[in-house]
Order: sequence, then structure tokens, then C-alpha cells
Amino acid sequence: MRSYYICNMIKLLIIEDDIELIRNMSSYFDSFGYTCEKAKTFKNGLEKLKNRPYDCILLDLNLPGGNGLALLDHIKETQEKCGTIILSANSSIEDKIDGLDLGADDYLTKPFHLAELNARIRSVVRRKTFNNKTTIALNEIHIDIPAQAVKIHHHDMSLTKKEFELLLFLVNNKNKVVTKQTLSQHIWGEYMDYSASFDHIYAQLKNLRKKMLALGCKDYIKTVYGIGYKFLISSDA
Amino acid sequence: MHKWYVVLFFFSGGLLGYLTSCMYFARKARLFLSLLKKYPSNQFKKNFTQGNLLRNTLEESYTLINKNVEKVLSKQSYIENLSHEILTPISVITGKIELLLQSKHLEETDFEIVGSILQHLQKLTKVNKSLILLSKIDAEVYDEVKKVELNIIIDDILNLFEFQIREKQLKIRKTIHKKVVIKTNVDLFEILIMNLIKNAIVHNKQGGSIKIDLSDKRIKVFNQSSHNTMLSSEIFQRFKSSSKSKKNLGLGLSIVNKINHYLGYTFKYTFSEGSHVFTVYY
Repeated sequence: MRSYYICNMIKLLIIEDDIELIRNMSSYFDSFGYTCEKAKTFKNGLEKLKNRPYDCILLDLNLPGGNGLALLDHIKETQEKCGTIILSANSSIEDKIDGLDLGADDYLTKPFHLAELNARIRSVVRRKTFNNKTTIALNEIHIDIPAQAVKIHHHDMSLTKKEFELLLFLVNNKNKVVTKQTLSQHIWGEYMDYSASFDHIYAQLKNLRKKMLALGCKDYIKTVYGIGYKFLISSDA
Repeated sequence: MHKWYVVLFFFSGGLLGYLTSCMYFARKARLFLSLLKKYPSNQFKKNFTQGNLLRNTLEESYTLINKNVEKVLSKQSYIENLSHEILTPISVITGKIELLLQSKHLEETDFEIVGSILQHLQKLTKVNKSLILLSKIDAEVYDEVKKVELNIIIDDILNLFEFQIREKQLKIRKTIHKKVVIKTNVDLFEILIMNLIKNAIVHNKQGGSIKIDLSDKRIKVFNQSSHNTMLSSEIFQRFKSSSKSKKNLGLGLSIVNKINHYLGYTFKYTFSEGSHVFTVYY
């Protein structure tokens, strides 16, 4: 099993017409070491697709010059082992199903959190490029993603599905401040957004931390007061 | 000669019926519109050499259906475009804030300010999504009707809020008379029940209880609350917020009201035995 943390050089193509949004995504992904190519129109997107292989394509549907959905066929023709994530302001389930039916790997509605987008990209790349076989090894933490199992110092850690998702999300966005809203929406979806407090996130993370520390793990999960959390780890494992 | 008229009459009736039913499926109507463009009215002139009256009726119906389909589609694409225009800047701002949070030069007071900005951005997004939902209902986007089992919907929604129910130590009591199946628009009905149950959880007291009474005529949701009795007319005002609570009552119940109105249901609120009671008669 290959550790996909060694392969941090994810090649992205962002097909999106909003310049500010592209800037946001570029800044966030640059710090992870991904390479980002950009295309602002349908035509531009088509050209880029023919030029070089990508690991993941972020596709906005409302493009000048054509509907992004039409690019999905071209992606299938020109790109091997490339994942596609649709970014759209439209949250109707029908459009989601249409997009996924036409070959997209994931569908994210605007506004989305950058950390969430990052987690989805890594998940799609893992499925496409590494055929679903990946583990993450970070010092004493060993995460087997397909098995949804975590070992600390080679001891099995018993954790709920939600705790696993939380840990994986933080690890995927390591050394970045991740807001409570982002975490909440990742685990529970949009239905949780009514809650003025995010006590449920606080409770879940407290449990997770306790379990990790009990197995002798260093305390990597730092609280950023009033904002969220950060998985702080000094060097790449 | 008469036989032709009879055959053509029934054929046109069937055709009209089919074309009319197509009109009520907005999503499929996109495809339908492109098909209609392939068959302009002069084709009908060629095929039906007899019956001017018949041909005129067909052409008129065709134009009317076309107009209505375009109206629904243009309303829908108007809403989608508006949604895109609003949600993209919100997306950009959210991104900038998340990038700002990564700065090494932030102090604790800075984090507090940013945290507050994020909270209000969340609120803005939520209000926007609700407004778009209300617009979509007005534009009759949700017109598909299916049979659906209510017991399953309620259980699914209760599962969704499992964590909050546990946290607030709420007791859930379900009074279900039998398996209830109704014909309705599933999306809207789910949003309706979700809003009622969500409200019952959020505005309940710690350790309180929620009772759900389901029959084939209506659903009642009871919740205990520390709020005072709300006036029936007040709860439907769009942006009214209770002075005692930071959580906003207005928009959620406004959505409930609109959905009930659109689906033709009756919605009643009463206060009895220390509980707020919301009833939907379908």
C-alpha cells in the first residue's frame, strides 16, 4: 500500500470564471504543494484538457461559452485516471444526479469551505490514482482509509465513524486552521447549520482527543479559540 | 368522412393530453422544448390536410404550451442565475476569511473578530438559501407528485437530529395510528417536516419532550418550550425574531407556511398543556 502523503504533488485544473474564487483556491492549494492550472472559459478549458494530464479537475458549470457539463465528455476522452469535481451554485438534487451520471466524481455546492474542497480532492485522487488503496502514516498515527481504521503506536484505536471522518479531515488539512462550521458541515451536512453553538463539534473532538491521548499519542489537535481547530504536526511523515 | 374527424379528434385529444402532462415536468420540459423546436406548425399543415378547425386548435394549444413551458423554464433559470450571482461572492468571502485564518500574525483578539465575521457570513448564506427556496416554490419548480410513506420520513429526520436530541436530553414520543402513505411532492414535504422537527428541538427546553402524532389526515408536532405563547399571525411574519432567543424563528416558519399553502394543506398552531402544537392537515 502506498502512502499518498508522499505524493503531495496533485496536478489540478481549475475551470472557473470567477477570478477571486480561483485566487482563493490557488492560495490554499499552493501551500499544500499542488500545481494549479486555470481556465476561465469553456474554450480555454477544452484547450487545457488536450495539453497535459491532470489528477483532478474542478469544474464550474456556469462558464462563459458553454455549460460545464459538456466538458465532462471531453474529460473522459482526453484524461485518464483524472477525477472531476463539479462546483456549482445550484444545489438541486436533480442537477447533482445529472452531474454524477455524466461522469463527475463529486459535486460541491457554493459556497463551500476550502478545507472541504481539499478533502474531496484528496478523496477523489485516492480513488482514481491509487485505486482506493491508501494509508496515511504520520509519526505514531497510522490511518488505513479503506478499512476506516486507526492505529496509534501499532495499537488499534476504537473510534466511531464520525470520529474517523473528523480525524481524517483534520489530517487532510494538516497545519491549517479549520473552522467549526467547516467541520460541522463535513460530518453532519447542511442540516446542522441552524445551531448557533457548535457544541456537538466540541464534544466529538473532546472524545477523539481523549482516545488518542489514552493510547500515548502526542496532542496534535489544537483548539483555535472561537474559530475551530488545527492539526499541528511539525514535519511531513 | 366522419370517421376521419373522429379518429383525428381522439388523436388530437391524446396528443393534447400528452403535451399538457409534459408541461408539468419542468426538468423534462427542457428536452421537450428542444423537441418542439424541431416540429414547427407548418409541419402540421402538411400532415393534416383536412380539418382547418382541428389544425387551428392544435396550433393554438401548441403555442400556449410552448409559452407556459418557456415561462416556467425562464423563471427557474432566473432563480438559478440569481442564486449563482449571490452565492459566488459569498463563496469568495468565505474563502478569503479561511485564507486569512492561516496567517501567522493573528492574535487572539483578531481571531475573535474573524470568528464573528464567519458567524454572520453563515447567517447570510442560510437566509439566502431560504429565500431561493421560497422563490423556487413560487415558480412552481416543485410540481412532481409521488406516493410517500410518512413514517419513514419522520424516522429519517429524527435520525438526522440524533445528536442534538441526545445533547438536549429530549424525550421523543411518537403516536402513530397506522402506516400513512400520501401523495405529495417529496422534496417539499421533507423540508416541511424537517423544519417542524428542527424548530421543536431548537426551541425546546433542556430535558424537554417532543411528541409526534401521525394519522392519515394530519401530523401534529408538540414541543415544550420556555418561550411565551406566540400569536398565530406573528409566527408567519418573515423576519420576526423572538426577543428572548438568539435563534431566528421567522424564516423557517415562513417556509413552512409557504409549503403548506402551495401543497394545499392547512396549518394550525395552538398552545396547550405547556406545549406548542403545530398541526398540518394534508
